Amino acid sequence: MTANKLGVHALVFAGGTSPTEVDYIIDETKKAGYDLVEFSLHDSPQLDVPAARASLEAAGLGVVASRGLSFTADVSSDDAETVARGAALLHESLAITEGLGGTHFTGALYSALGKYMQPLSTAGRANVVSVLQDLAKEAAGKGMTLGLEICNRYETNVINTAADALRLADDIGEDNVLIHLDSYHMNIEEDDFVRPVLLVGDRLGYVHIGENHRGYLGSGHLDFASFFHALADISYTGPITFESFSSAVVSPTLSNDLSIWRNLWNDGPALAKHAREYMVNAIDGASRVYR
Amino acid sequence: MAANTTPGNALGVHAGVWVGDWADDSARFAIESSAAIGYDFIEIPAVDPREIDLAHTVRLLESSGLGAVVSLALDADSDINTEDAALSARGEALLNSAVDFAGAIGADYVGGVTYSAMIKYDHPATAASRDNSLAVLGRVADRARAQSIRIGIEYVNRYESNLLNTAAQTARFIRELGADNVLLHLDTFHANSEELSLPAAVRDAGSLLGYIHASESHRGLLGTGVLDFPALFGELAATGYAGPITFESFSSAVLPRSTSNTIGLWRESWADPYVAAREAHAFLREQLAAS
Repeated sequence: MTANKLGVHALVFAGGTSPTEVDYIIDETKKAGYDLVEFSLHDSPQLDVPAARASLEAAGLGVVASRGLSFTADVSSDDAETVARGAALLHESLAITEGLGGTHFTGALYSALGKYMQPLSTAGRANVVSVLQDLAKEAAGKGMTLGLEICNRYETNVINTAADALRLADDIGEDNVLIHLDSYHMNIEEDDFVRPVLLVGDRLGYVHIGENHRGYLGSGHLDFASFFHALADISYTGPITFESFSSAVVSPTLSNDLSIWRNLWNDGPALAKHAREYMVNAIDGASRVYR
Repeated sequence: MAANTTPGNALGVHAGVWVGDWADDSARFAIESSAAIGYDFIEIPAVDPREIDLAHTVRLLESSGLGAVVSLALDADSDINTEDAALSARGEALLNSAVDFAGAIGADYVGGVTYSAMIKYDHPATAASRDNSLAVLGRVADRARAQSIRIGIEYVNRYESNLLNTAAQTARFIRELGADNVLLHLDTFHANSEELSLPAAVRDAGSLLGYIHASESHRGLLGTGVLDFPALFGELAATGYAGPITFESFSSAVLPRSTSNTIGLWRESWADPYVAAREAHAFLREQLAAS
């Protein structure tokens, strides 16, 4: 047992969240030994929220919800209507997260998940701050937290580094807005896997573990030993969720948004089991301090 | 790269380190600065030969003793990785123009994203678009061969092309192409996102490896990111790679806004190109000497 709850992203198992897919995802998450499952809300119109909650509770699994916005519903836009659509999507998604029984809503809540063709504007950033202040207040009333997931330059122009994210969180100024580090994105944007963890410290609320190519943990070159040691050094006890994508599991929307062109695995359940063992061992190893 | 007379790998620098265009003053600054630091050659992004004074570039290269190579990336309006004949024809014309530009300034290499647009695609590549790319490149390679020019296929990360993201994919592509003057161009920034490791990428490229971009994980100063350069140079020494190595780094301090937007550059990596280029030259020489 680790102090951290371990999670797995639903797209390891299925491309959507129809009732059949949700049942399969929950079943396989439980079988692989995880504590929680992360649902991306990109497919939320298909999601039967009360039924999913009942299945999660029956399985004894926790849940985290995540999403990115879109270019037509983007709170980092200069355009008031686009911002309003983004804000509406966020409030709706927060309600879905609550309906699922989750207390943590995270992701690129601050922008579209996509390749921007211009830098973030001052007005756009002010819109992010304003919308997320409102959302954070609403979440606080429900005992929920928001995560700012730091993504690479091709997926957002708002925050690419831990330093960017902390500045944004400072400007939002709400205690229930936490930082979400993702090892896949860190590999592209950060100097290493230690400094960002130390910089974020006790404001770290969620962690994604993904390999540099988003395939099997250990088959790439990420310095996971350093990353898990740093998490241990700040006494991080929050959730750690495995994320991986392959063209073998296709979401009609998210796969293209994330540029998943290659087949890196075919068997999601086998991948999930391997990843959990990998993370358990890494966390256990990092906890052993010899002095 | 005819100007290189010393044994070992020729060292180059991307013109984008110095300048954001190829006007006469820019060309002078980029070429004279590169030569002053001790680089053997400069990589010049292809420009329309009708829009610049070619003789000016040729005179500068001759007087400075600097060699030159040419690079380009196709875009959404000139893409050969397509089933659209008109779009492909525009891409082929751009490739031919780059070959002719290289011929006119005495460069013997045209490399880059020559097989696809450099864009965030919203769909996977198709068998037909890949076949079209191969067919066009076959004709472009013939045109280049007549001028003793080689064509480089630079694979890039998933956000910049849906066709070639790894050395293994690129080696298969080049073997299918079957032209003796087409070589594999490895960029360490892109390899960092997609490969098992830099040495594994070198091994996958094998004897087709003909050109290298040395670029840090975040495209800033060499040695300040996560890349394992000693492992890369160790593998290059072990496999006997004798080809060119070019420093590539981008900062919003130099690049025009349009180029920064295309490559998702939202940060100022460094302020002084002279410092960046001088430190990179020293770094590359040290890595070569140590391996």
